[in-house]
Amino acid sequence: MHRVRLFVTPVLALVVGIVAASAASAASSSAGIAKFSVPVSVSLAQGSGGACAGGTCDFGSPALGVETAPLVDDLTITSNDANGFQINGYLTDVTQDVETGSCTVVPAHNITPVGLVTMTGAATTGGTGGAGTAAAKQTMTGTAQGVFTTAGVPLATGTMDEQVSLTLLPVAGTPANSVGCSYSIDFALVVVAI
Amino acid sequence: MRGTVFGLGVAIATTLMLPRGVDAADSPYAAVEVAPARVELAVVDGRPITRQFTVANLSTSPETVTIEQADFTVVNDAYQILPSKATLWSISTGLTLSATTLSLKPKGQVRVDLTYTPLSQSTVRAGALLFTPTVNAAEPQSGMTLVVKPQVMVPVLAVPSGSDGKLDSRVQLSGRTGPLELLSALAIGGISFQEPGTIDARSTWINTGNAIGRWDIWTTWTNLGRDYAQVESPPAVSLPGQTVSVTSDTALDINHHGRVELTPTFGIITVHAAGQLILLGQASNQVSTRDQLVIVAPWRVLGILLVVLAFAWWVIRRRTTPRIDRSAQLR
Repeated sequence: MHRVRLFVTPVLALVVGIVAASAASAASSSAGIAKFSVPVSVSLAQGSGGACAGGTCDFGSPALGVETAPLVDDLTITSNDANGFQINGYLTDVTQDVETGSCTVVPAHNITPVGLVTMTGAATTGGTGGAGTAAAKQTMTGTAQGVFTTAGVPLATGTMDEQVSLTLLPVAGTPANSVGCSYSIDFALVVVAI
Repeated sequence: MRGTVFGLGVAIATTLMLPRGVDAADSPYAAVEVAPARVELAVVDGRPITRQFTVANLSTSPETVTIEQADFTVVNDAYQILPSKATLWSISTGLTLSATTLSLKPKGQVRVDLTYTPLSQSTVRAGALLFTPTVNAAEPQSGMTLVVKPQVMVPVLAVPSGSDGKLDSRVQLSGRTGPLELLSALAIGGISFQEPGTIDARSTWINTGNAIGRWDIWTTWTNLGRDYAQVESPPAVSLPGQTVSVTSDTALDINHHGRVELTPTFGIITVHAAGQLILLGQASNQVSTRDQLVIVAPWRVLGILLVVLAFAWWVIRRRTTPRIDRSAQLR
């Protein structure tokens, strides 16, 4: 017991001394003022969750003429703008030749991606403020469409998570790929401060 | 004393075991942050204007970010990205960037200079910068794949301005209102009726000036002369001549803890909206919609009550009337 007291008392005294010295130093110090301004900023990141790690949503070999089950693309957004932000989704190239891979691409196999992709958002989670209202399911074209309704853009600030559900509806006449080929559709999600 | 030491030990251990704040953006995948997120340049004379952007890689992997110039228009309140030089008001030819391909270390950041050489000192020029991190998608061997590319869009506007920072007199910032509709109410002859609950209002605004602007709109709900709810809508961007619609309601969102309804059970409520266009931190004259009257009451309950009362009155009357008849017959 005596040994414990011998150990604890000096340690506590040392801790109290350091804290007091730090406080006195901080209170008396007048130099070293950090001055900075914070502009409005937004960020968009592929999150770690969802089924589209790194932004690749692999639908495998879907049944033709039938809409696939949704795959969730997990996004992380940061914003310090209480005016809100919108995420717009669009096909980056509506004339995209979508057959790709380590194969000899057959031009006749190329399909237009317009109308093949649907997008459904969700209210954001995390952050401080309004979580936003997701728009109804939308079929994607080259025209940007908001993940959130116009009146329901998220006003939250901080770090937020957004889950966008994506489906494919491959048309019944989609040509079969050559060996080693696959169909790859480029899709963009753009965050913009309102 | 032993208790004190044990307590201290527990406290220290607990502190060390506390979960650290996990940065949700801590991911090895594409992640880009841009500041500022929108740029409005005041064009005073023909001299070039330079602004700095900070582009940060939030990813734990190295990343290449490309910056592209684009134009935009606004359709259905959403920015539509167009190729550079696609619009009459394009700013593209006047913009230069100090770098368009950035190699960023994990969690690194760089500064990029944006220089604008004024193309016009009398009209607003607009465009956008698109910041796109490289997505290293695994190439599938078969089947169908969707490759999602995250992008950050930064609108860039150049606005003619005086040396005092005020808008140039040639830039007209003005607007007018369209109708104010109450979406949740039933309108009968100029008066609307609604059950207790959220009152949804949709107001329409027309940009009658000659410059792009962001509508700042406030909708106010007043019960018997007393304001009980006032909501600022998210800004709506509109180009000259463009009409935008904004909806707002009386349900107050309490930061992920649900919504609270502010409308009373009984009320004689007027709704109006006021808005102004904002550009370069300056506002146009405020314009207001006409007041809309809505009478709120539990109409269904009142209706059922009325039916019950009518039925009761009918039953009473029926029971009363035969007695009179019988007594009349007895005579």
